[in-house]
Amino acid sequence: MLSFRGGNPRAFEELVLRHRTPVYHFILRLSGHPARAEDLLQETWLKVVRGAQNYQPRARFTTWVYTIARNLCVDSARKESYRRVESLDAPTDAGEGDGPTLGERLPDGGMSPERGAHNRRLQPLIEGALRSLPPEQREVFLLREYSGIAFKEIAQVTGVPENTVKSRMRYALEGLRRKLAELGVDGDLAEDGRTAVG
Amino acid sequence: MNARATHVKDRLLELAYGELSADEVRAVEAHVGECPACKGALEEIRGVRRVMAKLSQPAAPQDKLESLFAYAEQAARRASAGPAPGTRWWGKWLAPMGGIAAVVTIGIVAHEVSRAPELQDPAEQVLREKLGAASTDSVRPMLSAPAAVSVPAGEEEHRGMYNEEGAAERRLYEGMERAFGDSAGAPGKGLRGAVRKDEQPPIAADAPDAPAPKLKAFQKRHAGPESAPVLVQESAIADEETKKEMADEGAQALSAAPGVLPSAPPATGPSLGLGGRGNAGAASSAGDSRIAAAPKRVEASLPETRSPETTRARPSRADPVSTPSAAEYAPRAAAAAPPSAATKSARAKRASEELDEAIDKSDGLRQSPIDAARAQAEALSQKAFAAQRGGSRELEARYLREALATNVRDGAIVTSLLLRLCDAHLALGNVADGEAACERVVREFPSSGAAKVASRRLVESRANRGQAGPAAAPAETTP
Repeated sequence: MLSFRGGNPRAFEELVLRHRTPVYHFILRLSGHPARAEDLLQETWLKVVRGAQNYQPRARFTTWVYTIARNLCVDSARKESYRRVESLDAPTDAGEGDGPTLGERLPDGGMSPERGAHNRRLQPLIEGALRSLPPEQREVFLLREYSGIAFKEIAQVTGVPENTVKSRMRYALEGLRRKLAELGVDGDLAEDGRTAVG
Repeated sequence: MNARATHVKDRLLELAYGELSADEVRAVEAHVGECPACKGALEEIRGVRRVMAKLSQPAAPQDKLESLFAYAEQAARRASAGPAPGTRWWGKWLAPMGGIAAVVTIGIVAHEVSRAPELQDPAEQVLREKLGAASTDSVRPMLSAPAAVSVPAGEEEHRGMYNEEGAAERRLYEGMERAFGDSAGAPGKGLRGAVRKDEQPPIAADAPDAPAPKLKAFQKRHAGPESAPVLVQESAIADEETKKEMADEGAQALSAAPGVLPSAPPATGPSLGLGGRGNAGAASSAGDSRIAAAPKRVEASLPETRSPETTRARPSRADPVSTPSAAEYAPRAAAAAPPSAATKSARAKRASEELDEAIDKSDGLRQSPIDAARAQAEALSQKAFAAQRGGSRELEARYLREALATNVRDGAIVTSLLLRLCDAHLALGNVADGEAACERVVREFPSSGAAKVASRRLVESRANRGQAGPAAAPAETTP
């Protein structure tokens, strides 16, 4: 980021390519709206460019980027609070109730056909469980689980104490466990025991 | 207990997410190995994480990357070029100063537009034509184009005298001229400025005895400190009575119009040209100030609209005779041969005759002896000015003596007349008479500014004669 602030545009491109997908994922899961997430992602990076001259390396770049993205999501959620939120579980075919859900139509990460088929069945359940979390717990879980942001930095991003972040994380994990249990999904479904981050 | 349990759960969370150091990991794992509850809690965390890890992470859309990178490149280029130059110290003043300059420009333009010939008083135009044939050369320069007006020999001498004696004396003369109502010849003032004031509403024709608003304005201006000359302020005579007389002067001036300009339209109102500051304007000034000053008394009997004669007589804007340009005067003055004594005398006589006619026709409307004396002195003063412009200092001296003989009581007028008489005599070589006039000023008005001027005249005169005398004493004793 300091290199970009010094006038090197390649440094910014590298930053974007490195952080773009995790940030987009965070925005998408937090906002729940692909088109809005795309706009918010673009706005996030535009803000990074505009704020480059005022950037101070007091915290990690990821902390700064996720702070920007999270604030944009919060503002967007406020603006859209009175609008009907399109559900990832809602069928996309108008009139018919049997079409694929939005979550099912989201692009996949490129897996084997068997695993892809397994995940296609699992994705809506996981997304449903994630969506069932309150926003403050969901954002903490997303940041920690998928973006790899430490609790201390999550506290900086969300503006709450670290203990609160950990508390929200515990509640999020407990909520997910219960929801997954309700949906009939447990840890045994995981084939290789890997987690998202680490 | 709860705090300890929370702490343990937090440690399990940190262990699950790998945020503990190696020592802490060993300590927590040792505890988990001994505590089934913590072991179960850790397994729940890991189980949820294994399931949630199956959540797909969609790739970010690529369609806006190009524009984003272009924007970033532009920003990086700006950043590498350095910060934008800050506003210079004068930059902050540029906008307000530009605004002020614009306002001033608009004001000047508006002022010039208001002085356009078509907006001037028709009486002035009529007067131009009326006097144009008789005294074109002497009157025309005084009517317009003050910047390029050619100054006659006497006037030039008079001005040169001002320059020698400094600004205080200049103020004194200007004040005296204001007191006399000399309205023409001064830049920005004079007849044009006076006529411009006639844009005020006309005096009501159905109220002939009511005080005209313009007359009130005239009285106010002449009685106020702004227009009061220095001499009047310093003189012991410059009291309320003096101001009253000055106000009466305005009334008399207003009453003089019908004799000269019977067709003057009532809408034009009084010229109020007596407030002019210039030194010029002898015959034409007197005529202007009277003619342009349409009196309310006469207006009551005049029709509201202009008479056909007046309308026809009003010159067009481009009329070179009635409204000559400033550039027209300069070459004329430069090319004019020095007039002979006979020519000067003839010009002065013609101008005086015009004034005589105007004064005679206005005599019947005067009201009191004091006013009559003042008006007469004023008229004679104007005639003296005309004579001076015409180059006849003898005639000027005669008119000045006659003016002094009217027993005018206004100190400003008397001192002005005496000083001018002194100048005229000294110019004619009548040193004794000139010094006598100046000595009279010093004697009768010792504390006035005119006394200082007179003292200097005496010193200069006696120095010229090689008799430097103690006449400067009054100037030193004056406060």
